[in-house]
Amino acid sequence: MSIASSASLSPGAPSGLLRRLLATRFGGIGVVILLAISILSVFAPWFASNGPMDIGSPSLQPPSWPHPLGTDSLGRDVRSVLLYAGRSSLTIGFSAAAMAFLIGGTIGALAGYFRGSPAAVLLRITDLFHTLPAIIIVLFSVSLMGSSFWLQVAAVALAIWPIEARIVYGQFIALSEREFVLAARAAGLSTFHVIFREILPNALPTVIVQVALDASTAILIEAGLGFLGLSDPTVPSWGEMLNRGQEFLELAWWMSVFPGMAICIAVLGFNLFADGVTEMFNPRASGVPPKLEG
Amino acid sequence: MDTPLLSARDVKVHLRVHGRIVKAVDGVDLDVQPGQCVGVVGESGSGKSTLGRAMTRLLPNVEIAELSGSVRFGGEEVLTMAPERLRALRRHRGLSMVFQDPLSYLNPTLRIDRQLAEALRHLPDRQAVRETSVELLRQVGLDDSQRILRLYPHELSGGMRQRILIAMALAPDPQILVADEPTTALDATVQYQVIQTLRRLNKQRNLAMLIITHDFGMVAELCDRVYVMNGGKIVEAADVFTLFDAPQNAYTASLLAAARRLHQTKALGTAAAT
Amino acid sequence: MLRHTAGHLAQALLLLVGVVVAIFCLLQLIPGDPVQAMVGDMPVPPALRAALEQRFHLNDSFGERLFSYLSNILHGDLGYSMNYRRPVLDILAERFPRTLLLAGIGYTFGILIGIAIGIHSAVTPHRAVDRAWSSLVLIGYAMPTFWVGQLLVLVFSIHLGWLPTQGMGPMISRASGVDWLLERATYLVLPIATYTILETTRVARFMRASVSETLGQGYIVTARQKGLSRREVILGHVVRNSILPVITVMGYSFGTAMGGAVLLETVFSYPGVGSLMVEAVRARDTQVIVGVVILVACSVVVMNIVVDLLYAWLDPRIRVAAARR
Repeated sequence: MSIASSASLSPGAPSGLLRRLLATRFGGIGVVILLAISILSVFAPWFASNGPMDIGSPSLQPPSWPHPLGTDSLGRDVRSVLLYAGRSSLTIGFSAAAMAFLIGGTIGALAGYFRGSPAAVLLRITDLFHTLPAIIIVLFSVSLMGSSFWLQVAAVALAIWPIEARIVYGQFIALSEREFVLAARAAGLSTFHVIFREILPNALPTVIVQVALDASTAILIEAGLGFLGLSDPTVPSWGEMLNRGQEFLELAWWMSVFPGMAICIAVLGFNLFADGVTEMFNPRASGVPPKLEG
Repeated sequence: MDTPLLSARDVKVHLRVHGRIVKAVDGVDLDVQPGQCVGVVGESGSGKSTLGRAMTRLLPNVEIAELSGSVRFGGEEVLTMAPERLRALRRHRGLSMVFQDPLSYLNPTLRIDRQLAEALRHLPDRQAVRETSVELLRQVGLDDSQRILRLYPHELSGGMRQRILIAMALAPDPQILVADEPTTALDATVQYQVIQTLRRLNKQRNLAMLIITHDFGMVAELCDRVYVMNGGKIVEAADVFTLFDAPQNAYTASLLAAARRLHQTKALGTAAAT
Repeated sequence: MLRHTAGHLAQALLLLVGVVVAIFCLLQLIPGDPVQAMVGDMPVPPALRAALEQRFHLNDSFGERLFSYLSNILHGDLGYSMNYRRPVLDILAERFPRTLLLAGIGYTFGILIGIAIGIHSAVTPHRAVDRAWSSLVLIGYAMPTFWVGQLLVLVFSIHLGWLPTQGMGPMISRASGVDWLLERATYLVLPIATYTILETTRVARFMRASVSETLGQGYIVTARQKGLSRREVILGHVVRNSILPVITVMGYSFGTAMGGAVLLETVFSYPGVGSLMVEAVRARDTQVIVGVVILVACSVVVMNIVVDLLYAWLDPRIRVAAARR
């Protein structure tokens, strides 16, 4: 029972929204990519020929029929490792983004709703994080805390949460002055209700876009960590594959090219999805520039 | 009857908006004689702005489904004119246009003298450009020209900006000035000054004008001939006195009545206040 | 304008102090032995332990330690690296210029090319060209930077043999003068190219959006109305106004370039501050890690100030309005 449900959100059941997303310039491609990589990851065992730890095959084989993506220095089938590594890379991406959203979003929402000194402090802190590049923050955290899988996720989330907080804060500032919020408060609805049933649903499109972008950033950061050899060594990941590949760049280009492509595709998927959602709710934002006549 | 300076025949502008076709201008005939001031009046959405911009080929960035008809200026066909010829006309002795919102129609990062100079490239040297700039500002009632020329748009008031836009439109010594809601963004006293400026320019320079507006008061002050637009078509065309005294069309009559009521209410309000 | 700048400077300094204090607090939270943390992965003899405790006031109160920490930094004492057996400041002073060389040049090229692509993409009358550029930029944006480096090495060094794969210079060199310069230059081409690609993709996207926004403005219509040609409109009105928003992100993307250094210097085995950070993390050399973080924070803050000044100078709305008070 939300006053705002038809005020600013476009009407339509989820299927209607999906159709509109598919109609945008790139949103459709983004959704297809995300779906594809999700399926490949979840059902990795079905698509892979070997397990990720099977080192039985001859090593450093170029792409050929039994091993379409070649084998690596340990004798593992690159395609299989790629699929299993996808699971962890994507999990880190999603989890870090989710964590950043939960922490950053809550803080941003509170700062945006209550204003005053909490808001000022928040802005100072986000500025602080803004001056440091994400990878430096993550490296610093890893050096302090170590790099087991979930600590990695936490480190990445640490680097990203300020952006999320800033976005949610901005949305709250913008939306809390709108009529439907004032109406809800005048009607005596509780703060909880106002935040979760009025403001949040309308901030949703912007937030979804940011979370998708955060996920793509998280994947890139995680890849960097893996490449530097600082990720959890017990978990295969795309970054870690690239680390191995670096040594054998001259001998086995397929060890580096394919994981990189995988990362690229995943990041593209999230970005195109985000672009599609942006275009859906804000038609002028992306799209064709105005023409300049001769 | 002399040949009109600017004449439109069966002009149609159909736009594609969100997949539907909107007939913004649907078969309009219009004439402006040399030195004449013509007004095009109508409510928002009547298509009058679109008509003006179509005639000067300055349509905004909407998808055009159809743009047809004839717009003749000094014997040439404007709608199909070659771009170089159009540019040459705009630079000297052609059609000039003034728009509604002076703040966004002036480049915020450039000084006024530079923006004026851009419209004066048909002059031989910098001395001539400077002298003409000063003269143009004087003509629109801005005497403090030395100071104003060195300023940026954000340092000026709304009325001054609008008059500078008019000065820029006058710079190429045009034969006709098309003004799209020239006073809407301004407050009452400034509106009056701008209207007087336009009137002076019309009379003293014998400058033809096409005034597009919803303000009947301005039309009464400035125009010799009036076209009334509704839904993309001209519903009535007459000289100004005839129109005000004896409108033929029901729509025109209702528009006029509404304008008078508004005027009266304002007058009453002022009287009550004093 | 000066007052505007002074305000930003003060904020920037405050930010820096905030970073240092935050780092200090985080370091206090590490469980375990602070002396061991300082020393890294090596055993600590008792005499050394006593000396370090004395030197770093490890047994003093929190406030006293924070104070001495801050004053040390202000005096340029960033600690001593057990790993390298040199003062941290020395190591940084040696390596930072190298990183700046690479990142700075790449960053600058990237911005220039990115601006050009962004403008072309937005003003071209052929939508296909725009789509082509946009797709290229998007794909470039999605590629991990170090992977781009690897690809470049694969193609240009390994496959074509035109350029060396890594390092700053050859092990042994008999070249001199211009030849030496050229020889050195070949080592820098690929890393700089990678930085350039990184920066270009970021800037091009943003610039295209900015130009698109500008093209919808009223003064563009006014310019057309004055009879200016396409080229004159673009050069005289579009470029100037579109660049302003892009400048505001230049400070932040310099930070990204610094971050990129960490990865790229590993790909190319380039002895700069980035690879230093990685080595220090591996060796758990806390002093160096902290030193690098502070250094990077400083450089980003300085860059932000420069960018601020640049923006204030270019935008008359800030430059002139302030003067009139």
